[in-house]
Amino acid sequence: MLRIHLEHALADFALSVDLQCRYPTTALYGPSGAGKTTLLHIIAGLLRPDRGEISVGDDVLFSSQRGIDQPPEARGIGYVFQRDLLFPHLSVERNLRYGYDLLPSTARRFAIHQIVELLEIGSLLKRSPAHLSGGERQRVALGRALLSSPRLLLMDEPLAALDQGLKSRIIPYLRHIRTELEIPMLYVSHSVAEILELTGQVIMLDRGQVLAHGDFFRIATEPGVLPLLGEHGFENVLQVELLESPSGAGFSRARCGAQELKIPHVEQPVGQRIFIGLRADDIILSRRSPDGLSIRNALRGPIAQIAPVEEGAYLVYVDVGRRIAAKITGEALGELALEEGQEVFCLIKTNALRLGPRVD
Amino acid sequence: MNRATDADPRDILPLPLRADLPMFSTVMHLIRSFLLVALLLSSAMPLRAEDPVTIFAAASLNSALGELLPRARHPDVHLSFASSSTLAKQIEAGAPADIYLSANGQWMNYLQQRALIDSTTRINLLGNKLVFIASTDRSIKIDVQTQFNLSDAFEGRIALGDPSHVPAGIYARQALRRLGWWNYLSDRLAPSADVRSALNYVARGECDIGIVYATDAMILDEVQIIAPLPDSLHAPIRYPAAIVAGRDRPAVRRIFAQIRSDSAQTLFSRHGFTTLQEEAPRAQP
Amino acid sequence: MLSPEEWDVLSLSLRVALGCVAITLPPAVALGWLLARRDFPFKVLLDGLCHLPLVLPPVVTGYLLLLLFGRRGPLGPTLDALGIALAFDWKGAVIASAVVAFPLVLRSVRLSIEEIDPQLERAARTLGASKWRTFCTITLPLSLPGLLVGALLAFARSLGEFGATITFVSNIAGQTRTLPAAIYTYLNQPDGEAAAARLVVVSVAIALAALVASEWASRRMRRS
Repeated sequence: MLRIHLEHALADFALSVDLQCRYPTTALYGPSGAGKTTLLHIIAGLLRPDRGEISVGDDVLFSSQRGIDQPPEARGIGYVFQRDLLFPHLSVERNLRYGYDLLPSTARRFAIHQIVELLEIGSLLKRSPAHLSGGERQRVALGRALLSSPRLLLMDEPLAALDQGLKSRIIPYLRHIRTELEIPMLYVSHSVAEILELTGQVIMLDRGQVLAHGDFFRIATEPGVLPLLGEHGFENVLQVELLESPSGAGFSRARCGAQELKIPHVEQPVGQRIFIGLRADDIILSRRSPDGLSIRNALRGPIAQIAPVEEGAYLVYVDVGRRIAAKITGEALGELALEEGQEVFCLIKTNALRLGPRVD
Repeated sequence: MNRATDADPRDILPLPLRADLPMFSTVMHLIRSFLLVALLLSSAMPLRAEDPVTIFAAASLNSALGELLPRARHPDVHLSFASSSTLAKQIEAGAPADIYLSANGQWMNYLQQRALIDSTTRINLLGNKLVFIASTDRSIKIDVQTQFNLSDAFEGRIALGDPSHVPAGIYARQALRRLGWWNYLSDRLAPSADVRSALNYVARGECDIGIVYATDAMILDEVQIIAPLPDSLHAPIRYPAAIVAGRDRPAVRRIFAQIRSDSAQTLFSRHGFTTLQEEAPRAQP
Repeated sequence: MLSPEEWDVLSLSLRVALGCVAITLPPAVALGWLLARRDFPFKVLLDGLCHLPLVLPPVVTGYLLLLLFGRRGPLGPTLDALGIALAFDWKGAVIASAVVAFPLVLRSVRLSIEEIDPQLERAARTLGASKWRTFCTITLPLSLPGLLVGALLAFARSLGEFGATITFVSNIAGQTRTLPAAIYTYLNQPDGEAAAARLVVVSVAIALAALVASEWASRRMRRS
């Protein structure tokens, strides 16, 4: 259980965080400059906050009031940086052993071969970091952090510097770490897809403030949070279950709550559950069932809430089994005379749906 | 025994060298020229094309000559001070000096042997005295007699000009030899490249005593003269002056005459020099 | 080829040069790290102070050393009590060289520490290394090339150091007559150019040898 209560002034705003994390893996999401890296640095002891208290379990790592400030090496918190930061003058093996060798043997949670096998870096041991590829380096960095037997692992966008193919190859390793090694992780990312691969628990950070904390589904459509997710096409996140993928049809059929959706074609087994993302801009509202339109999807449900957002636009929350938000202009709102409680159809083009990771 | 043996081979660093091979001397000449050019460039020298008069003078004549021929009244006179050896080498390398004032005969001989000075103009201009000095807050008594045991009178080293090439040091060594003190003092020396360093060592207490010229002792207030050394202990200290070969002309003669004048002599003795005015014999020992 | 006295001069110079390297490196590393990694009030002042010997005429530096380390100086009594006499001693020559060479070593070390990514040091801390261990196992090894260059500069500068040395510790054969002082002495004698030339050749040869050695060492470091 990680408890953080702190305030720290940054250049443009103040970081002000008050939260408790008890989930095995929690993601920290926010736009660039939100203060995510600063927060991680503070937790790790690399930066001293102006005020506050940080504790892991019963151990107080920092308390400005009580004058406690444990140095980074004493906190037992591992850190995987955005760049691999492997020590260039040491071989891969000596890099891996760096933290490991500093521990008394009773404190070592993992054996070296265990981590080496988990991350499949056995063939790299004698090499120098300069001779590794980006993905290999990041795996070694991961292994190095793990071998220091941390009680909490901080990961600062560890996959940001890798291409998509590499990312998808490393994410399984991260999942292994989560499930097999049972180390709590705080995972920073500005990629929702990445986050959803690993966990459902998210802390939303923007301009130093925690906007929301909890299950991604539940918080994703909150008004303050929505703008953050918009650019990634994940303003609306749905879980759907795959029903059928007819070949050559260009789409797959999936079940969303009690209704059906045609989503872009995906090669997955029947019954597989995946996340789908959908932008609020891409939902068309209609008071009537569509007829003669190319749109294949029409989810129906009552309007749960109408909330104004910037500049004459409104978010209309519709309950189609779960809440989704559609963004329309005030003019359209008036013209359709929409009100809460009213039944509407949400018209969605198949190709507006973005495929997300599998739900597991 | 009165002859000054300036170039005692035991005291200068030995120079094992075979200078009789022709190719060798060519190489030597090249090296010599290179080193002389280096020396030349290493000290400030005025290079003007008009008819200013340039005087190369030993460093110890600094304040006296500066007062005799001040810039304000003699803008055409350029004074260049350095050690006698450096100046002689510069003249040898062709530096545009008109008058040379050395602090001892050795270097004037050096130039005379190479026909680089007009030997008809050579005179002994000034003399000086050697004195023992100590810091003003010490009271050390020295009896300048052979039987006096100088080695017990002080601790550490004795500050003086480097006996291998600084004139004051050369004379000091002669005097110490004459007194029979050299044997036990020769490894207690702190040889300096210049007078100022020797004075500093004594003033700062690094050396209990030192031997410098009487004129030097007047420079710093923190040192006092504790005993003069009689002239008989060493070769006569002579500051020869001469016009450089090929530089004779009315302006130069005028300045040279001024340096020799009675009023100049008065000025010099006020600075602590002994004044002579004798013709120097042809070849000084 | 060299006379016994010339060998004395050579061996003294080498001893002084090696001593100079030995006593400039540790403070250069400490101060280099401080200036590279930390901010504090009057940092600029400290930096300027460390560079002072670069801009002062060497004779002035020598005179200041005399004021500081001489028997009447502030450190005089302490040195006396410890039985250390610097004034006409080869140890004083080492000090003179070291003071004059220090700014060069400091710059080199500081530059090479600045080039080390501070994030590497932070990574080491999160892996459990204390500040000191991080310095010894990460910072120092990675700054080794700069240290080597600094050592070479100190060595070479010491071999050529004259003004401060001769002012501080005079020119005593066997104790403080280093190569430059001996060359100077020879040049001041009527027929001393040949011997001076020999010593010049020796100085150049040593400096070149040191340069080649350090090049070779830094190539080896780069390869491994």
